[in-house]
Amino acid sequence: MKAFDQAFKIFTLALTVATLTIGVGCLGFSEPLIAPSTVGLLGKYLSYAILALSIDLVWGYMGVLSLGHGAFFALGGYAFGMYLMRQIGALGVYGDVSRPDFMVFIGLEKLPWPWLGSEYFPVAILMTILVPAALALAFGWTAFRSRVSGVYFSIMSQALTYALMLAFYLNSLGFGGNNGFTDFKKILGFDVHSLGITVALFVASALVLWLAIVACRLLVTSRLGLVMVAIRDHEERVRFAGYKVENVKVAVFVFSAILAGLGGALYAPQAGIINPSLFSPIFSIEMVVCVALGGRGSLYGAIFGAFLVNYVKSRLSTLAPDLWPFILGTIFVLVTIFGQGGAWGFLRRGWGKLMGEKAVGYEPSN
Amino acid sequence: MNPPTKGDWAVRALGATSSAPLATEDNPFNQLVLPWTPKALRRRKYILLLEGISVVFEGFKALNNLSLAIKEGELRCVIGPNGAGKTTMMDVITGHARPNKGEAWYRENINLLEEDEVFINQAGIGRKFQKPSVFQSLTVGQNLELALKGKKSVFSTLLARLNGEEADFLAEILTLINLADLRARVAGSLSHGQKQWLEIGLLLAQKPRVLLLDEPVAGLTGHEIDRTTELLLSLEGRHSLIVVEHDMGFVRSIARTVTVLHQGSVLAEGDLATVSANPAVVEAYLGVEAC
Repeated sequence: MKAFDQAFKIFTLALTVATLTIGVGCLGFSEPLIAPSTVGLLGKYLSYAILALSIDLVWGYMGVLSLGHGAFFALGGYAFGMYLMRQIGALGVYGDVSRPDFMVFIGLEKLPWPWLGSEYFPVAILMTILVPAALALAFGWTAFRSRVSGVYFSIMSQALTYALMLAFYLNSLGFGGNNGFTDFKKILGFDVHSLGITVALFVASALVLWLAIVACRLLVTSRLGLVMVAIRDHEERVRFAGYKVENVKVAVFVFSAILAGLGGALYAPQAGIINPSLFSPIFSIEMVVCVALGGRGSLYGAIFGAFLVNYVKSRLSTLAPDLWPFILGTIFVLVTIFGQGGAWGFLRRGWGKLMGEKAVGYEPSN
Repeated sequence: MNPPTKGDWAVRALGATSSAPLATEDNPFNQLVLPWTPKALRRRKYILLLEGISVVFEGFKALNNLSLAIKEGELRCVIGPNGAGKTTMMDVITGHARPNKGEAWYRENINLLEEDEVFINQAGIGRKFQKPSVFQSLTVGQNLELALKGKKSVFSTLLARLNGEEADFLAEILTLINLADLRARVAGSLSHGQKQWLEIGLLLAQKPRVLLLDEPVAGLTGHEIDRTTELLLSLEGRHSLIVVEHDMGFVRSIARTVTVLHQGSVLAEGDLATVSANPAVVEAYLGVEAC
């Protein structure tokens, strides 16, 4: 099938090798060969990669630049974080079984209604999917119906995530205010800090990323994928080819938001914290930069970019935290000017030369 | 705007969609519920009927009481100086612009003024833009594939696969538009003329009944114009064509009936010789072109 091309096979192989190495390296010996903190960090990168993938799907293929995709990621994280908070139970500082610590602290007498059912794992997973999807549906429907596109859409999406950030900073909203959720203890009854769970979360992230890329590849190689690229190239022409552009945009946008939400749900337990800073436009823009650096419109490039940028960021934020925005900005400008197709495009061209192919264009298939 | 007549309502209630023919001989029941008013009878004679259309943009009358009647299978050339309202007329027909006054009917019972672009397109009116508009980063084959007539909802598009019949049809179009060897080429790398042909191909893939072509030979070489002329003449009879063009040589080679637009209304209509001899036309347009 054309959805599962050579790059997909290489990607699957790399992911499998990484997962096996970490699994065996951590659990196969009496002393773990890989530090659990490293595994947690890599798992966090995987969750970023899922977010980057979701951005690439709408931006790289459909030309819809969302500068607020972090909002869907954060909502997924919060939805799953609620479950993690309920799992703390009597282990919290105040030892209150029914309420998380922060509620006791700010004097909330009983659980607010959004917390209903959050103690059940399946409900948490369901909310992780439904909440970002519902927001994407409402926002996408409103924006695309009124034919808001281009830079106006980008600004609106930024305003959306900013508004959510301000809302989540409020203690009265009942989601922990500016501290968010943290100090998780258990997941499915197991210690969240145990080696087994750390590895399991990494494997789960790798699996979700793999499933996400399978779904995305199937989507972009279907006829709907052609329509997405066509919308990016010439939206009006697509309408005059008989497609309801708005419906296509809304559907893909909702799907993308679900992916982002799943990424967020995997992020929360691995980062050990989820707070309103994920709603900040800066975070969303940083993820867009990841996609641009990695190479948009290729899916693999987004994943590559997420790893690259976040690795450099982790390194630099210990060495020279003040310099990070400048370095990121410089790399972004350089890639925009010189690097056609980002890092992925660069790799592809190199690979093509090695294999004696002629220059490859923008996602050629068929 | 006209309220939908009882007949329209009944036809829709019966579940007739854009892809199914509305009232035709093989579906006589729909005809029974259509009104037999003189207006409806007049609509039946034409595939496309514009009557008294006026479009005003911020005080400027882009179209002024324009009437146009196109028969099934007819090839009609529309000419006129810049700003005569040719593109606005196409906008009205395709649901892109809403007139302030007038009526526009497609077949006998589709009120063009009440439908959106997608419905009108699905009902069988295809449009070529003035600037060649193809999907740059898709291949020629992919361009045509997504234009193919069929169900175009999100879900059915996701699952759509090219079947044998469609593949044959695509190959047929590729030959017709002279791009058979370039099927795997990215459309952005085609020459200007090839893009014009590909866009006509996009329209043909939708199996339209009416084709609106806005300047199909603009910027083409002499040889390419000849090819386009052949192509359009071969379509005559199978589709109704409305061709808007500035190139008088081209109009002369394809025109049966010519409609001259001037300042938003029809100045003259008839065969090219009669129209060219019309002093008003000469003054408004042809004189400028030194014909």
